[in-house]
Amino acid sequence: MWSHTAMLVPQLGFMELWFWVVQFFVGGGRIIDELVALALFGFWAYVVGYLALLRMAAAVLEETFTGTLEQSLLTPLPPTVSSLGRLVAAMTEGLVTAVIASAVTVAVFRVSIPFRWEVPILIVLTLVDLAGFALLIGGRALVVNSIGAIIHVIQGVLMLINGTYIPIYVFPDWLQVVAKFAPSTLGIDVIRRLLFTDAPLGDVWSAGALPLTMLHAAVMFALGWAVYQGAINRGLRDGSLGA
Amino acid sequence: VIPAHARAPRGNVALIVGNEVVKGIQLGWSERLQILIEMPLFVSFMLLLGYTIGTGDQILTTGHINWTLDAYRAAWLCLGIGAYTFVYLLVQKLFWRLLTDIQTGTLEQTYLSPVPPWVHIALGRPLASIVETAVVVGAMYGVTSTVVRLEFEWRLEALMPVAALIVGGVGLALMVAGLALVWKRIEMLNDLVLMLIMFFSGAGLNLDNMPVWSLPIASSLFLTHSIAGLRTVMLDGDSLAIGGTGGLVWLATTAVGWLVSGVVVFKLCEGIAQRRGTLSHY
Repeated sequence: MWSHTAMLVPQLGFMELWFWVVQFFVGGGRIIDELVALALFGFWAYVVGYLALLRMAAAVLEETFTGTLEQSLLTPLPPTVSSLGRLVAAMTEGLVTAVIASAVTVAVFRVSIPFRWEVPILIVLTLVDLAGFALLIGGRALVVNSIGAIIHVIQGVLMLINGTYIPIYVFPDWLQVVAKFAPSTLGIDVIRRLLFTDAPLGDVWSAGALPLTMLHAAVMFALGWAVYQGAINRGLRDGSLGA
Repeated sequence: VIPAHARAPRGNVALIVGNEVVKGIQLGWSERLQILIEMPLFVSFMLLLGYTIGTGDQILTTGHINWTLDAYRAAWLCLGIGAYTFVYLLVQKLFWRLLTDIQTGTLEQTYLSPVPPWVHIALGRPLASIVETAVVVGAMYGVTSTVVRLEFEWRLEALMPVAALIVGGVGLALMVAGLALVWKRIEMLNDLVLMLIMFFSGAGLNLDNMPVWSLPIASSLFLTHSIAGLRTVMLDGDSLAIGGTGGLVWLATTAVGWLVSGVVVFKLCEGIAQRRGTLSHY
């Protein structure tokens, strides 16, 4: 991440501006601070997801083409360690960038975000969910290379339906159901309920939102890991991880 | 030493450009599944944008928005987002395929061709991308019209803003391609530029609602005038004016200006990459 500092600045600039542009559009030509507060955690998750996808899918494809993916696996360590290292690096980069980008927005628009001790737990669950999704797309990209060209579309849709654009309770009922299948949506919605409607944790649990968030994160991570690792193992077996 | 392209018979140029176009279309065909995936996503993006633009206060006060679109608003947005999508896909396709060529080393091979290298990148590839992108945007229109009522005036005059859109779009794509030759990892910059162009061009939000300081930037963009021209002809049923936003003068000036700038940037960057010997270094 540090060696790509020159890229980090436009990265941050892009994320920041994109969020402001979206809020500017929704505000009909002005930015509404209260709406920014409601959407901020969605934006945070979008940034993490964006970079995780970029690193786990686009960067893995780059390495496939240049042949360094195969080289990185010529190690006495099992391939799972390499995959885990790559994932942790991608998520760390996403998390750091997302925190900086969110902090800039908070500073610029004087957004007030309350704190509750339960929120960090939800943040961890959301990160696990996004990590699973990045693995899933990265694994598919190893098998279907052309996925590289639609990563931007996947990232765009993630932003549209995870609550970055508008809170998901505004969506029509059917779209709320669809949105809940997307990574990070459930976690972001629970965070919004906790922080902006002062809902007690017990209520969120008994309403099923919190158990569903945990289930979604667990299933997404397990699925993503199986697909990604399956693609790596298959590539090693078939010799198809090179250019 | 005589460069290979200096020895090429002139007839070969058309053949090679034609081959490049065919290759690009074949590549597009091989990515038909990806294109099929892209299409509903772009339509969803456009519709969600249409429903939610300007609803901020309503969301805060009532917690609901009206999920309907009137025909004029839908058509207005379809023209703006459709034109933007065309440019977006044109630039993205060219960029990602060029990047693949750089990564796999096949880009250097195109420099062994008897025609000048820019012919491949500046002519053949954009032509192929234009064909592919036009199909995608056309299909987007078809899919959108099944969801919301779209009423357009189909007149030949609309070909002028479409031509300006293509010419200006190729210019922008060449700029991005040139920068990719030198700096390679510019996908984020690429996305940033495309986003700014969407914001300033009035693709989603009427220019009247934009801040005053942004209007000179909007005027300098080919996309602003192409979209305004398309809306004038296909939505309002009027003829293109000589001056003003979307007028003939602005259409021609910005389209040619962006194309020339694109060629200049591309040639400069290509020269740098060749001097450094980094056409295939990644």
